[in-house]
Amino acid sequence: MRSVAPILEIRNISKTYPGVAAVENGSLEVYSHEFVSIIGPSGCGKSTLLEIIAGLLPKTSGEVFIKGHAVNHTHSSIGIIFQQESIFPWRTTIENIEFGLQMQGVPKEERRRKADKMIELVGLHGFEHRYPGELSGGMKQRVAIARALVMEPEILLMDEPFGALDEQTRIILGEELLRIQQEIGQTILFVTHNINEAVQLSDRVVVMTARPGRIKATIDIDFERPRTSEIIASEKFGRLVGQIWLLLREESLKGFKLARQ
Amino acid sequence: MNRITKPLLVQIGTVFGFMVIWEIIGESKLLFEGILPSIVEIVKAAWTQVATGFIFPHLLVTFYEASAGFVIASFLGVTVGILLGANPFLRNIFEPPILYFAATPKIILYPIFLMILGTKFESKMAMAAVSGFFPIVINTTIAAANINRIFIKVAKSVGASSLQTFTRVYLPSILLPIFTGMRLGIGVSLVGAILGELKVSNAGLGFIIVQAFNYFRIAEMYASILLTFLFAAIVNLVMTLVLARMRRFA
Repeated sequence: MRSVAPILEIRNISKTYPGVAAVENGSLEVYSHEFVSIIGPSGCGKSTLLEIIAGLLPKTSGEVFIKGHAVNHTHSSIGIIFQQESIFPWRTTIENIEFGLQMQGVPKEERRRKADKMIELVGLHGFEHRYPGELSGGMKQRVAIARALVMEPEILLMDEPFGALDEQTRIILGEELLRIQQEIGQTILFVTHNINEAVQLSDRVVVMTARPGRIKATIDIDFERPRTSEIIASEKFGRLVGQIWLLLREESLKGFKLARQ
Repeated sequence: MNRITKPLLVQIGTVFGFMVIWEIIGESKLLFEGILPSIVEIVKAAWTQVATGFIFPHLLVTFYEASAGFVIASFLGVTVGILLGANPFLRNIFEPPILYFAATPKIILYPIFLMILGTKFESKMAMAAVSGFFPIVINTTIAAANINRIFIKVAKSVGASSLQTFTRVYLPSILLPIFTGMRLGIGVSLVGAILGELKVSNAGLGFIIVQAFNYFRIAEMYASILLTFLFAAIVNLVMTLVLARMRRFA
């Protein structure tokens, strides 16, 4: 066991909809600077779990702690990024990034200064005053990342943020995300259904079961940091992907049958 | 010849061709005399209406009726639309009758307006208001009902208050459909006001058209129709330009 306290701790989280158990007894700890991925078959409740942690969905039972303090609703120390396009089409890049600070009543100059830093960090220089309609899918997700990071959250929750992108853009953005994470020491909890993505990015991969979602296993990904997407070519990468797939295969088949019912 | 000039030439050619056919039929006396006066005569009459200033008080009356009605239509349409969009229960009750009534000609209400509001300004304003209300309320309702839930989640996740969420996220995200509704709305508000003037009135563009018709001053009637058409086209053009500016970010 580690001696430091976890940034995020969830204890026995369950979520039941009438007649359906979505998540069952989810327990997980995420430590400072860690990148943890949750992977599971579709419909296993991984997004539900993330929205519960973010305080966007009420839980049936269990507890969420940030640095040892219980949290029950949305909290400024928890940032979240969604798979769907979430940046506001009526705001420019920089105005999107300033959104959260503006809602918190941060003065305009400070807002602009912090947003400018984020523009540099995520590599959107030159696109500050563009509207989302003029940006590619990958750039839009960079804006979403900057908008969440500017709030300086203790932990960043990411719900399949690159799910709507093509494979090559996804890999490159993943590499970018790791660089950003390294630069600011961000703690990240990442949800995905993509095994390659989980292995490319994570320190640990948490495998969930088919519905009701339980935690089946945790795999350590012991690639050194900083790392680039070149690790994809290594034998170890293939071995880890294979290992996770063997854990997931059974669950995916179950999930498939559940979906057909 | 590029993609812009070619349609423009066809447009000009069509108008010119139409005018030629008009003149030929008019001169041939195939129709009753005076039904198609010569275009020169019509333009002369139109010029007289403008030069003597005869048209302007009437144009202003129509403009005031239509715009006052349009302001009422916009306020009610947007308010009711947001209420219906946000509340599925209210929407289930009120959306079907609104859709049915939107498809009926609003002129059937005019006798009621005349009785309650009199034959002057107010009854035409009411016609304009009730006409403009429907496209605005329908567009607003649809937009408000289909608002992107993710936007609301983003606002919640950064701790925005309900008021902030409403003014900073909810309203801007339905603004464009509201403007589209208003663009349609101002057109039918104008139609409503002029329809009212054509039936019962003592001023306005519709009034002078029907007046010229009653006295069989056909060239003057066409002149007023032409000027009314130009006025409507200008209103439409202004709304299109405003909307194009809004579209920048959509």
